[in-house]
Amino acid sequence: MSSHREAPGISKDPVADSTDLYAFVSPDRPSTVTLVANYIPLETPAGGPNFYEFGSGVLYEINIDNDGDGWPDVTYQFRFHTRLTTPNSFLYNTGPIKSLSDPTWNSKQFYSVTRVDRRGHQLLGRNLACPPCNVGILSTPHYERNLGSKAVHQLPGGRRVFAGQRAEQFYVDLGSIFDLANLRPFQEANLFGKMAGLKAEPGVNATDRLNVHSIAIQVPISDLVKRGRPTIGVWTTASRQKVHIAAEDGGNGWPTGPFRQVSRLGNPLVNEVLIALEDKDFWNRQPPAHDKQFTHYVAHPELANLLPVLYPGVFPNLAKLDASGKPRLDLEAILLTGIPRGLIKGFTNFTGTVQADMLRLNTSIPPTRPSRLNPLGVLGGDLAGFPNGRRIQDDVVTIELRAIAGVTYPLIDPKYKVDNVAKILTDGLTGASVTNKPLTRFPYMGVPYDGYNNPS
Amino acid sequence: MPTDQFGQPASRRSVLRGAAGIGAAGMAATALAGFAGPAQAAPKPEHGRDAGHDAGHEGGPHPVVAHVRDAGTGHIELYAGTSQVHLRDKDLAERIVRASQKQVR
Repeated sequence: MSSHREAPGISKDPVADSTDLYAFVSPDRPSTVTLVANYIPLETPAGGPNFYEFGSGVLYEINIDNDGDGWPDVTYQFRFHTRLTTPNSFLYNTGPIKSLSDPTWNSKQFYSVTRVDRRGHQLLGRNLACPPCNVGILSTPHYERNLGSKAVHQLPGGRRVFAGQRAEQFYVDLGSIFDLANLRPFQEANLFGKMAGLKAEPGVNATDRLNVHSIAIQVPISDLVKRGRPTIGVWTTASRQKVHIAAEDGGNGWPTGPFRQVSRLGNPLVNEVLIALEDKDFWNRQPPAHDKQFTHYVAHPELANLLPVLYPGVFPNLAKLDASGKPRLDLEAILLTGIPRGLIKGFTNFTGTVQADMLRLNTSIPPTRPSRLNPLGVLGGDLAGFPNGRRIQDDVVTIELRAIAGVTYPLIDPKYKVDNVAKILTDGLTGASVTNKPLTRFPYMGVPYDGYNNPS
Repeated sequence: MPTDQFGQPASRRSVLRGAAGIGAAGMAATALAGFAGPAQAAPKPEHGRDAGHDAGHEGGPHPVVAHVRDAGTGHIELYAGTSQVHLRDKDLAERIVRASQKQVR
């Protein structure tokens, strides 16, 4: 998955587990950038009676580096707290929830937003209401009209914010990929698939009809960039206080001490697919500025070595490249520094020589009209998509599979001949594999699936 | 100059952050009345009750946690609110360790 349950430690702390990060110039407000950080992986819509919510002890942050050093220059902080309307009831709601202030909704969540930069803290909003989870047709009727859209809050300075449950928009065939890197459309060529007599099949979207919790903020581009440097690096982090004393009376106890980072996410699939198991938790606790220590995982990805083994005879040129021991400078550019000027006509998102895993967005590139959007992003000739930031619709699994399989290596060595299958490699999914589609307006993440119609 | 969890000058990052690293040694907690609350404490609601409330969230005393990292050298970490303070006090460290070894009644 992009970053769902990607490390042993954070897989045991779902409310602090970042799953996906998006950063794009807003298609309907091109003077702004939209940043979306998703948390809480694989929410089953019927998961009551204690439906999903953000962690009240977690400090959520979206960080922006605007000078290329891998340290944050602007940070948006989000803190949540839960309030019970009817503490002596076990129910999430005692009747239909028709508005964000409806007293029938027992367990309400609120949050504050603070902007931090070198000048200090600016509280942008407090006691902002989250929408409830989409419980079902009786409990949350007309969900988006009554609740979801009402949870978009205007903030000072032309900013807007939303935090709450949304439909998972990331699509991936987990059931196949985690089964010995099988890809259903190519499984008859997979070493083990062939032995099992499997034939090519379409992909299955394992994350369809599941929800996540989104933190989305839309801000003017001028809120983020440094003069003369239109490209920003973005990552999200979750932190917890270092000490926690458990309560003896049923309360939450006492979190104490400074916050310590427990989760981070920049580019999709980096910690998930590239970083080795022994370093995943450590990676989560590091700042992007320290990512040089992980360069070898990007320069010599394990998956690039596995593909020729798991698909014998299918990737002969990739096998030779692997055997040469040459570092994958194409992947280092895409994931760690941005793509320098001159490699792709009319495009750069290079931020400098500091190697740091950040989602790099060149804000001077205008958004692509929805009718012309190519989910393969820059790989598909659409310069407004991944790895130039990341849009909700971008097919990052296919893009990164193909990149690791060698499709982007000619950026470094124009003589390199890409294996034919690498050009069409996919897990067999597209945006059509997602039931609830992205919205055309902020917060862009789709309407969450309800528990009644999606019971399992 | 104080540094944040990544060794950067504290002024570079949020004041919510502090020094990194926590070992495994003796730990003691005590409550001091009147200690400042969390930086992001929510206002008291007019209706309803904050979920999972505790003394800290109700505006009462917050704990100070002493982490004796090494009684032999006297290295102690004190945690309070969102702060962490490093002390080197061998006598205090030994007294905390001795106190922690007394049987709880």
